[in-house]
Amino acid sequence: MTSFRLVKYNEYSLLVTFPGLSLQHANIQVVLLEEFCSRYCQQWLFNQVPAYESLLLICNSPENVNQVIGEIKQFFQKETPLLSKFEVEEIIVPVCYDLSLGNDLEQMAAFHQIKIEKLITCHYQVVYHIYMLGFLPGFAYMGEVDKQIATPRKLFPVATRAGAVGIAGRQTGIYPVDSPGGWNIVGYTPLKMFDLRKPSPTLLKPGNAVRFIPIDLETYNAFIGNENGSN
Amino acid sequence: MEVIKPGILDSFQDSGRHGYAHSGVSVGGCMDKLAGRLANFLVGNSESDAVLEMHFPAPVLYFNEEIELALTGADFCAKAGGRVIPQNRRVVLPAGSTLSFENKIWGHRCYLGIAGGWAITKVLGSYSTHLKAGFGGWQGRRLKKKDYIPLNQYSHFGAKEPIISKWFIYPDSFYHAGPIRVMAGMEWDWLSNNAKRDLQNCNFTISKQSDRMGYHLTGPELKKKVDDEMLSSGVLAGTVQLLPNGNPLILMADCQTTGGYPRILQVADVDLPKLAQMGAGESFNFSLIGTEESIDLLQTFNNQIVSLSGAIPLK
Repeated sequence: MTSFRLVKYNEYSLLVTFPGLSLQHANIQVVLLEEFCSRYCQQWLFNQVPAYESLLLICNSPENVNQVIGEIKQFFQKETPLLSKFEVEEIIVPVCYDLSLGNDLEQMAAFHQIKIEKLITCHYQVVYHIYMLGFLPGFAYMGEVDKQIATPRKLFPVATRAGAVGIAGRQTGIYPVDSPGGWNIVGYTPLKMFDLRKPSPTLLKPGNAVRFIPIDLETYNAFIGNENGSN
Repeated sequence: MEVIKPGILDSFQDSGRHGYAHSGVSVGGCMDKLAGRLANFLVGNSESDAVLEMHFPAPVLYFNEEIELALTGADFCAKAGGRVIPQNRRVVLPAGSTLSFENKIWGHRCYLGIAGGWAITKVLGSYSTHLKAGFGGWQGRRLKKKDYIPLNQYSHFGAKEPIISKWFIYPDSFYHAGPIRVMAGMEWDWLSNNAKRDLQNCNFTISKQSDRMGYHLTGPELKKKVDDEMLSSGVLAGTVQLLPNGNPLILMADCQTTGGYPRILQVADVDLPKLAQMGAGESFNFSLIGTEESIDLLQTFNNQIVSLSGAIPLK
């Protein structure tokens, strides 16, 4: 049986967490529980918000909270399969780290006292696990960023462009639309992270993996040209 | 409906976009969901139909056919055909009417409901305009000059001048003058004892950088007693986060689905409409209540809405 903690978030919502589990293991539990709830608790739920090590379940009425609690307790009494059973898809995401696009690499390099080139290499040499989507439509939170370049959030959110690839602590993520944001930006991808013209609007999904490939400014511009040409 | 002159932020909203939060799609919908429901009840629509949310300065709207409408939420002193169009009533406007809003009497968000609604399509299950990602509502954006949004139906009373119902609903008790009731948030215990005390005793003011996403508050600097950085986790409208600068941020309708700042409070659902009708420069106090009390308040609120929605069609 998996140990879990259930807390009432508000009148009709529950936050499920997994104290004592490693981040990776907790995230597996979150993904599995979300799948379970999508299948068996849908009639009592407005929304589910899976995150790193927590699942927020928003019920459609305070009266239905106990039904959901009952189902979750039953679910965790059984043996649960591991994430290794899922097929992990690796998605290639090109990133242009060119300073001319406007990023925070200079400030970050000064903060960490390392060379910009080293910072860039540290960022793309890791294959990242997608823990969750959140904050904006299709915004994937990925980890874990190399300790050497883990950077705290900015004190205040600033205007950030769609496609911006940022770092916050040991997380990395991609802004799908223009938005105020507190993450330090290392580069820009020409790929669309959220596209309503597609049957499944989000490119990235929890449980999958992302490999960043560095591209130069010319390739980036060519990509952007192609994206616009296909509209 | 033609937009003769747009307001500062007119957008179609509804009861919210549910079922996509796992993809990071915010729930959105009316800031004041009570007013949105009431506007629909008054004109006989389903409570989750689209309404037009308006801020002040509000738009000037022209209707070439006769329509049946209701205005709820903020009172911006609406006028049509030389007459004041009061809030919270059922109104018929003759064909060729211009609806305008003269000044801000009370509140910050006014809702227009029209019998039968506008001919707009749902995106991801909702009419709500997702302003940040640019979809839903009317072309995914706020209304602009010369926008022409067709209606699903016209009314046929043959009105020559505005017909205003003598009866009205009186929702003022939902916008009470008392403090904003809150529950302890998920990271309440991260706060220093001083911060916990200040939250319950001090005044907080809504700052100018406040919008449909959230209200930045100013007040005493709130300190944490732990130094942890948290991993992003789910948030809801009404979640109060503590920003690194020591100020609270109340998340509102267009808030993100997840956040990485400590969640120190959660606004009781019944007080979200009141909060939605407040704006920059206004001050208030928080009052801490338990979750059970908050559930009781919500159930009483829902019962009142059910009786109200049942009573309106009898009129």
